[in-house]
Amino acid sequence: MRLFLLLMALLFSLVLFGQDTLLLPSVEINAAPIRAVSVGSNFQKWEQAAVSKLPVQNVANLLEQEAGVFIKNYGLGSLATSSIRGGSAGHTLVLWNGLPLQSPMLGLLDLSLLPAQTSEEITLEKGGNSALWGSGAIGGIVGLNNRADFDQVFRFSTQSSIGSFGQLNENAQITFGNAQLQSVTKFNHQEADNDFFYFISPNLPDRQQSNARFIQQNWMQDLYWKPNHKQSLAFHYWHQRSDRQIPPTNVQTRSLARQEDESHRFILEGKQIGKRSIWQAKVAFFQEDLDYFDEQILLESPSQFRTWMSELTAQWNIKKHHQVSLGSTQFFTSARTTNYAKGVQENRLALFASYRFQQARWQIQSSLRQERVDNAFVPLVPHLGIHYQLAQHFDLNLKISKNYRLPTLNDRFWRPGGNEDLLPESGWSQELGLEKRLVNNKFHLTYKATAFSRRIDNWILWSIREGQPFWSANNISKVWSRGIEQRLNSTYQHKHFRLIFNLGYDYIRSTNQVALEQPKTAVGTQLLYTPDYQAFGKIEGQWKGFLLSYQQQWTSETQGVNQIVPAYTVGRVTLQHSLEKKAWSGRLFFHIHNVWDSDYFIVERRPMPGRYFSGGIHIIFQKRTQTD
Amino acid sequence: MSFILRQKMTGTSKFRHQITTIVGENKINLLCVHKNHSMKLYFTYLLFLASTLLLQAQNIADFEEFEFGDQPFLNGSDGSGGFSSGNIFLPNSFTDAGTFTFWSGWSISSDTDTTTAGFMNQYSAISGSGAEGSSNYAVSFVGGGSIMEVMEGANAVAGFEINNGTYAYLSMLEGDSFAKKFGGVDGNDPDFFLLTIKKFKDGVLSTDSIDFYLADYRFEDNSQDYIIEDWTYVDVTSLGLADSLLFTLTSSDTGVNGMNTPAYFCMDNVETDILMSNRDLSRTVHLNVFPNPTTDYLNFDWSAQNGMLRVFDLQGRLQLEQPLLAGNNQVDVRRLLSQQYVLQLLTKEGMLNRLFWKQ
Repeated sequence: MRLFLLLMALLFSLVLFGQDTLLLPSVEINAAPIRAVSVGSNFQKWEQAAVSKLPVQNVANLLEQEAGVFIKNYGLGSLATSSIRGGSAGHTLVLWNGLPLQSPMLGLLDLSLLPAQTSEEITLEKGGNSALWGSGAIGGIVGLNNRADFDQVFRFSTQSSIGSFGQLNENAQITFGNAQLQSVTKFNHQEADNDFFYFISPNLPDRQQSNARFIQQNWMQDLYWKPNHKQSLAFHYWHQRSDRQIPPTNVQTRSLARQEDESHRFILEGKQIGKRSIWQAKVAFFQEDLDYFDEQILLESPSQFRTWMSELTAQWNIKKHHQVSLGSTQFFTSARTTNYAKGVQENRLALFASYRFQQARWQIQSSLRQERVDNAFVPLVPHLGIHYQLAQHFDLNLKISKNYRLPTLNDRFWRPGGNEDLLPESGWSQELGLEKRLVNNKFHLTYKATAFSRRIDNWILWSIREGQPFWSANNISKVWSRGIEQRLNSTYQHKHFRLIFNLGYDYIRSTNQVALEQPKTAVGTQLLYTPDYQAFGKIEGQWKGFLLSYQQQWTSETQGVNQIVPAYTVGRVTLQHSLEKKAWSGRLFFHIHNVWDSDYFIVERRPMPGRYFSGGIHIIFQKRTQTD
Repeated sequence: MSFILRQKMTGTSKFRHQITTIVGENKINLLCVHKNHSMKLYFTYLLFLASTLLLQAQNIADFEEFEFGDQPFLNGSDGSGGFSSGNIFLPNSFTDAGTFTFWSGWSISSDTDTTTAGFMNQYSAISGSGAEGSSNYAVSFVGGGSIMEVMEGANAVAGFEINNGTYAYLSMLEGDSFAKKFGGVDGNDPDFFLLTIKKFKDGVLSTDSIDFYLADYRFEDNSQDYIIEDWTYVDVTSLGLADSLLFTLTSSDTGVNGMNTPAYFCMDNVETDILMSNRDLSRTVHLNVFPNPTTDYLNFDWSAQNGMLRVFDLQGRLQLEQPLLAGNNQVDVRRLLSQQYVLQLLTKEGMLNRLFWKQ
């Protein structure tokens, strides 16, 4: 016990020492159990086994197809960012084992770079929760979690698929260990030419996409040590490399642009469970290089950031129904690009506290966070979440929170236009959800409706200001987002037959509340690339080892930068057959994407492919290494 | 331009002719008395007047006097605030924040790169040279609008050569990551890139303007669509007197963030009229030219301000030019052929014409 605490103290002191030598390290916190469940939130979770059966390659695909999140996708294999509840891309916080993956330079993350199958669990919490998670947790929080099961099984799995436009996707995973130690090694390789044809006009031949090839590789290594039931230590390493060409728009003759991304991410975390307490410490180091090249315009733009993080959380169970958690996060970020005056640094230190009350029908959680960025304090942000069981199978969720997003390093230091006087975007959000379940031994139905409202002030936009001939970042807008989300999930099971029927519908208004000259904006206009409504439906039949699924997605028109992007609808078909024999199990799968061959755009001038196909095989071998 | 001819018989066989030429808000009167009138003479007058308007004391700013260092452009990094050439001044705004520099307004360039697309090649003209194959030319990056100041000693701009910059040209031809290829996906989009020129006079912006399409894809027949790639003369005499000209750019490729087409154009050979008559001085200034006819010298006293003195034949061809000085002036006409000529006196206040005979 003492040894373990000493180890945790050493981990933490490493960062504190770095704080002395590197000024102030800053961090984001996570992973204490009290934060693992957000009371009053709209929460979804996907296990790795389930994700592997879906026609998705990356987290962007998963959120779009399974959660109805609007993904601003620039094309197959290209940049994909999210808009959750009418927020911007920077309003989705993405966490890897509780630590933020976002580039502190850009303030967002390209979700197409996150493979869907390299995490044991992917979570989505809609709505804000900055009090627990800090900057960026405004529209929603996506979590990628690696975890051990210590099930004493040697497991090897490989999933290979090929598809149209030169698609090749390979996932391999080896898991082995015993009750105390576990190693999980994951490898992912994706590549595609994406040289699809797209529609021009009835009188002209289709045009073939060019300069759209991409290769992406991920290697992840997890090591877990659990000497007893009260202590555990985990190490996570993730190396990612991506090289992709940037295709031309449909009104551009050619493009020679390409982008290389490479990242190394390390996390070391320890956990100590006491009689009435849980202590958790993390230290982490993330380094990411993003290099953009365009030899056509003689442009080479390298950039790099490094972030050292530490987090310490403690949770106490006070009596039967009360839990209190305290935590501290520290981040120290250094970044450089040719567009900064010099290498820049940012120190962030945050303290937070959370209290949870649990009873048979009640759960109440309240949190508070205070963050300091360099020498400036971010206003205190509170959060209150309530879950109340109105009746059996009938729940009410309520959440009120104040949330914020810090200016990115580019917002602050980019030359020209960076503004070191920027204030954080911040504002209050409220949501109310009702969930009704109908359950019997064959039939399960869940209907969930959530209404929300969120106002964000000091919205940061880049624009040309009066008397200033170049673009600059300024707190110039206010945005009011509100809407209603509905989900109907039903399952009917009879012997070997299972029928799943899901429907979803989101109506979201996210409007500017300030008239602006640039970008040209009138009061009450919907944000760019924010659909008023989205809907999706899925019907899936399973019989023994066979699965047939059909999905349809509708998205209303959006306003692009230059023109309106028309509404579109896309269908998908999945056919699978699974087999099991002793230690071996396998699955053959075949997907038809855009089954109705729709010509559509998500981002103006960036065509999406028509009908295309993919298929492959998934093989798993697993064998118990020890008997109890 | 329009002409008004008034004829009046002043004696038994003499006619008085007054020809008034109107260009914009300017009027030029030529008075003469003849023993006979003939249509040939009228045509001669008309030709003369037209010629005097086009040729009167013009100065050309060709930017050839500028010299360059390591880079083939001058972008105001010396803090000069602009560039003077001929009778114009082209303002430049240059920001040096240590790690980045930014300019708008005007730069002077001798860049010859006509193939590299993008912002890094912002200083070159698509022709790879100045007008008429010259080395230097001006490049404008138009923010809200670029200004050309007409300097003291001149009071109007006659015209200039215009061309696209390589950056804008290739963007319109091929598109880039921000801007569209003109014509759009199928070549039928009615795109345009328009340069609009207005003038400031006494602090008032004119309502009249001159439009020049740097690219025009609005034709029904796509084969007529064009992007300017050669220096093209733009006549702006119709704007008349001006303290400065304002240049603005508009494009069909415009979104909520403004114009996507790169806001650049190039200019060369700016012709300014040093003095342009805005009123007829014959009613306010007494001029006694003597002897008339003359065999060698013309003499007169000039009580108004300094200016320019010119002698034209009746075909409008310039024969002599010399400074016009306040006080006594003498013009040596000994080399002129024996015939009738027009003596033209030009000042900032206006102009005055007299006929005389060389014997």
